Amino acid sequence: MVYIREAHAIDSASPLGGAGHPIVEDPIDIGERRALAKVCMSKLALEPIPALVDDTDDAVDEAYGAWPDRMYLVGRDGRIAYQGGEGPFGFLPAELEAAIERELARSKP
Amino acid sequence: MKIDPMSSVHAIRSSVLFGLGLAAACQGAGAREERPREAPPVGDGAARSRAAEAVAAPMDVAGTIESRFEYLVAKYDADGDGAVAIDEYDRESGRFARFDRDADGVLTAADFESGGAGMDAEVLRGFGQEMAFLRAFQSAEEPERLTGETLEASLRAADMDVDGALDAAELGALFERETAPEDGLGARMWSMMMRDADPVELVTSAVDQDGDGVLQTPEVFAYFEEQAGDDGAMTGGLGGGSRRGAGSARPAAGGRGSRAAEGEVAPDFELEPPGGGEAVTLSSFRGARPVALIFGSYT
Repeated sequence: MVYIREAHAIDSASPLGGAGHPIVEDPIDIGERRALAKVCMSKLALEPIPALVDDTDDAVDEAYGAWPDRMYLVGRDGRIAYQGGEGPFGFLPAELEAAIERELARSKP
Repeated sequence: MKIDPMSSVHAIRSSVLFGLGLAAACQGAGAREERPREAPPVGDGAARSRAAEAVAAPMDVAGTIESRFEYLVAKYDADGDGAVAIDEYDRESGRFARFDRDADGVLTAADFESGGAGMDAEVLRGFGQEMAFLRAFQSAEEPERLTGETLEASLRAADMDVDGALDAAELGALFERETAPEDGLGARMWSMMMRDADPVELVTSAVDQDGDGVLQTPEVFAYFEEQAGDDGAMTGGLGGGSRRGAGSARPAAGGRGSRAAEGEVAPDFELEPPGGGEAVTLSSFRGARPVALIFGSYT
């Protein structure tokens, strides 16, 4: 999991919050973003998945065109084996699953 | 992020669909039908201790505070008057202005529907309009990205009586098309968002400027141009205008994700886990294992 810029912070141009949706202000520094990532991983029971946090320059987000959500598979050779579409319509776990199976079959060590 | 090949597939399938804010969004959409709760008066003993909790752990308010206004008061109301004046707020004034609907320099319950309990209906409606528009005109080949070319092609194909405009029936027919996989995040969000809404009404209200109930091609393109990002396409990041960097001075990447195409070397990075500690470098996995990257955020 690579934790990036919020999709719907309450003080952003695309705010959501309340009625069960988390109420979150946009993190203004890496410390706030890390704290929020921790809460996210815990509240959504994602802790089995290792997480990393993008710096607030959003460099990794931009390199991968990731916002609001997106999936990739990097092959054993360091090249992109699968580039998912931009979320939400392009966010398809079944595609990632298939890509993982292909990659594991392709690149047995 | 490294994955154990044996368990990864199941972990990703179950976790990802229910993570990345989808669980929160599901709860949010369901709760829309509930009556909004009153924000409790500040000064009430129970409210004060909830407020103290919120300030101590501001990122962990789910379950203690349900309203945006209550959250802001708990965090910023230094003089305890139940409102947040601009001098009590310590972030960018542009962000304050987004909350301050009546632009009186103070955030009060009046700036939020129902005191801020529940989601902002106007904002949700705007998202619904965007999503319905995208859904109407998206291609099956690339449903996540609506370009001008795709829009033109969809319009031409939909205009069955070839009069240069779409009426309600022609628009309705567009939603019958199966363009996105049923098990994807987009399809799930679509069914959640359209539970109480009519997609034809949403698109018509967003696009029909002259009020004749029919969507003329220029009207459709006018809405598209407003919503499209710097790369000229609409994707499903709702409130997509924010991708133009509102609230920040970041320049748009030249062609989103252009450095990260299939077959290209994955852009390298070195990032730390949320708890801090040892940074992980993507390229360190080369030759050892594949790496699945799932990008997202809590909201």
